[in-house]
This record gives sequence, C-alpha cells and structure tokens, in this order.
Amino acid sequence: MKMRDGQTLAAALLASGIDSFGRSPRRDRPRGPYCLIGSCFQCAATVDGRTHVRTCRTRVRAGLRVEIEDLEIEEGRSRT
Amino acid sequence: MRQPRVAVVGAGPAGMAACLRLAERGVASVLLDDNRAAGGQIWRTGTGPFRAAAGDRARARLLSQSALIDHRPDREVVGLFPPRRLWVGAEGQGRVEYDPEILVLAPGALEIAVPVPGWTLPGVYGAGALQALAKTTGVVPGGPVVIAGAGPLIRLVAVQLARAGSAVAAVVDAAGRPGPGTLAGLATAPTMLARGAALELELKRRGIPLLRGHAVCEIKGENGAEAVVLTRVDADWTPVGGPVREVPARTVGLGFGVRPNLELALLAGCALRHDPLYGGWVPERTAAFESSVPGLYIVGDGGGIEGAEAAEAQGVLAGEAIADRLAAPPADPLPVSHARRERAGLRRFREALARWSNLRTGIYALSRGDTVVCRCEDVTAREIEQTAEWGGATAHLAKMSTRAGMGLCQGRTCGAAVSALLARAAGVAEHAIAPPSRRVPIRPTALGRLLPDGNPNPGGNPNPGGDPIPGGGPIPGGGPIPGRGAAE
Repeated sequence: MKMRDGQTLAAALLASGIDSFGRSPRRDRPRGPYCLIGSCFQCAATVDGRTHVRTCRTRVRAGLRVEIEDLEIEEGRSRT
Repeated sequence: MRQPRVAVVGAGPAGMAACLRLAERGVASVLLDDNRAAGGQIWRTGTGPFRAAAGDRARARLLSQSALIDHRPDREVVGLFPPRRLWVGAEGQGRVEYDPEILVLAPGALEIAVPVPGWTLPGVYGAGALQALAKTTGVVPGGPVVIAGAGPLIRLVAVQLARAGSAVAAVVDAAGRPGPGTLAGLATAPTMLARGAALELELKRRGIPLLRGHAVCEIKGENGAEAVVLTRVDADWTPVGGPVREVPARTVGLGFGVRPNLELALLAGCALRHDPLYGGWVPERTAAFESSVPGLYIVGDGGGIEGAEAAEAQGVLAGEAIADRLAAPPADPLPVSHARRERAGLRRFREALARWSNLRTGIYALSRGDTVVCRCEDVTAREIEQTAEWGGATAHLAKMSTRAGMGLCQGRTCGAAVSALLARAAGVAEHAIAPPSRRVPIRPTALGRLLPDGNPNPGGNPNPGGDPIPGGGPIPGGGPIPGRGAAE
C-alpha cells in the first residue's frame, strides 16, 4: 500500500479505499472513523502490537504494522 | 521540574490569546495542547483552500514569545484533580503533573451527534471530521458527498470540499430560511453575515442544492454509506410525513453544531448552568472568566459557544485579569479594550445565529428504537429510553444500566444525544438531565503513561515510565468483551 510519509494512518487508509476499521462490539456491524480529531476512537486499530491506537493521530512511517479486524472482507470494496 | 504559575490547556484561539496577553504583561505560562500544531480545530494548519490567515498570525506571535510561553504540543491532559492539579500524558513518556497557581481551560467544543438510522456505517462522518481530514492531510472524500445538519459549518465544509475537488451532491439544513428578526440580528456583525452569504452564493454558483427545512432521516448501505433518505422537518425540527426523496451518497458529513467540552470542568467540580443559546450546559463564570473553582478560568467555546473571534477576545481578557491578579506590570491596554469591544459587538449576532440554527429537540425523533446511539458500546435508543421508563431519567443511571458512554470515547460522541433521548422519554426539559460525572483518565491511556515520568520503578512496575508496554497491555474500560452480545 502506498502512503505519504507524515500523513495520518487513518487518512492513508481512507485514501486507499479502506473505510471500515473494524466491527461493532455487540451487533458485529462494520464501523469506520467518525470524528478524525482524536475524540471518538472509532478509527482505533492495533498498531505495532499496541491495541486501541487512534489511527487519526498516528503518523505513517516505513515499517508500521497495522492490524484491523476483518480487513480481508473489506478489501474488495473501493469506496473512496 | 520548575512549575509555572499559570498553565493553559488548549492551544486554540482562546488559549493562545490568554498566553499571549500574559506574555505581554511579562507573565510566563505553559500551554498544553493535544495537537501537533497550535491553532485548535478552527485554525488547524492547512494549505490552499484551507489556509487560515488568523491562525498563521497567532502561531507566529506564539513563536516570537517562546521565552515566556512554553508551548507543549502532543500533550494529552488525561486527568484533573481539584482544584487545579493536572495529569498530562505524552507519547513515549510517563505522566507529568502540573499544579499551577492559576489554571486556564480552553478545551473548545465537541460536535453534537444526532443518531440517525445508518449513521454508524463507514463513510458517515462528523462534518468537522471531513474538514479536518481535508485540511491536514489533503485527502478529500469520495463522492457523491452529502453534508447534513444545521448552521454555518455545513455550508463551509461543503464549499471547502467542493473547492478541493469533492463531488458535493447536496447540503441539507434542518433550519428554515432566516426570518427578518434573525437577519437583523445577524446584520449587527456585517462581515460575519457577508461570509455566510458568500458561502451560500458559492454553493449556488457550483450548482450544489441547499435544502432548507430538511434532514437526512436514514443512511442506507450494506458495508458503507450508499444513499441518504431526505425528509422535511417542522419548526421544531421534527420530521414530518414520509421520506421525500433518496439521494446517492458514498460520503455523508453530519454537523448539528457544537457544545462546550466540559470534561475537565466536570472533573474540577465547576458549577454548571444550562443556557440553550450558548450550547446547553456551560460552566458558571465571573465577568473575568473565573469558574466556581478559585484560580480556575475557562475561556472560549469550552465556556459557552461564542465562536473563534469571541474566543480569542476572551483569552485576551482572561489573560489581563490573571496578570492583574498576579500583580504583573502593566502593558499597552489597547488590545484589551479592543477585545472587550470585539466580544460585545458579536453578542447580538451570536444569539441571532443560535436562535436560528441551534439544534432543536424535535430532531432526535430521527433516532428510531433500533438506532445505535452509543457507538462504542452498541447501545440503541430503545435501551436508553427504557432506563427513563424505569423511573430514573438520569444520565448516570443510563450509563450504569446500558453502558452508553462507558466505551472508549467516554461519551464525548453520544453524550448530548443520550441526555436528549432520556429527557424526551421521561417528558422532562433538557436542563433536567445533568451531564454524567467523569473519571480519570478521560482518555484510554496505557498504564505506563499513568505512572510518574522518570520515577524509577514505581509500585514495582517492570517498565517504568515506559510506553509502549511490550504486548500492548490492557487498557482500562477498553475493548470488546467476548460473548457480551449473548447476554442480551
């Protein structure tokens, strides 16, 4: 995946067509970022092994490892 | 560590102005902010159509005063203990404490979310989110884009996205056309009124329809937004009749205005009052912006929604009052009298704007029984309304019995909606529902960040002051609990 260095991880994912960042806890519905200013935690993902990291506040850099629940299901979609 | 006499939380227009006026009076301060660059949400650094000249000027002044203003970006205030002790976290370090003689809170506002069926689908954002995304990263959302809500922000976001290349299909405003009384009030600030009029003209020129007296009553889609359903609303913004039309939309921005961010004021125990013209619950303040907690000042939208210009003016006035209190030497009084005039001159405009575009409670009828209200914990409108039927319409009871507001965001997103739905279900006024109490930490925080910074092995922690903790470590209150859905 191509990302611009220094861009936020959330923006890079959205720009590459990924807008579902996981599933909701009880109803298991797809969820994506909502506020993009660090308040809502809907964009949280596992980054470099750390859970609940807000991707809207994380800068992209080489070698960053991101895990998003059920991402493989969402990869077929290109919505952005 | 050397403790400053004055700490300011939030580097938006109000917080920056407070520090700058204090510096003019020779008073040093520390300015804590959770963003990378000063400017807050309104003066976010941007390029092209998103450039904010006022923000650039304020940032330049901040830099020129670096001898007296210790600007610390990327700092999150995760706790406040009465009266004024702060816990501050930063990436890669443990907690740092500040216990200043004077604390100024300039926390700004939170967007008010109105839960609509389908609003949890990917592709649906706060209107401010789309603006922040485009401003800071240059990423513009894929069209067609529909921006819905009320007030000036939805117009501004739509125009800015269109300028940046997004295909904006419509702007949907619950408010009707402003009447003569509103226009007379708005005209008391001619530059502000002209700005609004220019936005509407640009929408027209770009062929983007502005639908007044309408709301998005449903967002359709399977794995993401695909279309919005529009309905007409009445004077109280209650949806009337059936849906009027369906419009394709892959990106939806929802913006129903803002409310003061009260997290830190609540932790400090500041007295509140309810003022619908200024965003609902607001902290009590003296004419010098001091809260009911001595030595704790609140400026800007966090003290009541007045907008960026008035926020900057409040910062100047609070800075002056604090410098007087600390018996600092005098400085040129001109900026102070200017600030006083600026804020007073905007009052009629602001109140006319609020009467016209502040959220009206009928809009919450858009939340149907199975509409998810609390996104973090997947709690529906029906579940929240049930707590009111049990006889206890308090935000605290709703939180305890449904977990609404107990998730990762701590109710910052859904808090206003939970209170409004409770009030509606119990048949009581909005001001009968007090905001729920807050707990430290107000952001999910790794344990390593809550331990004192540089403290060798406090409490036997094997990773002192250390973030990241290997393997991530549990986050209090966080994460899906396996199998909870089965208990329903």
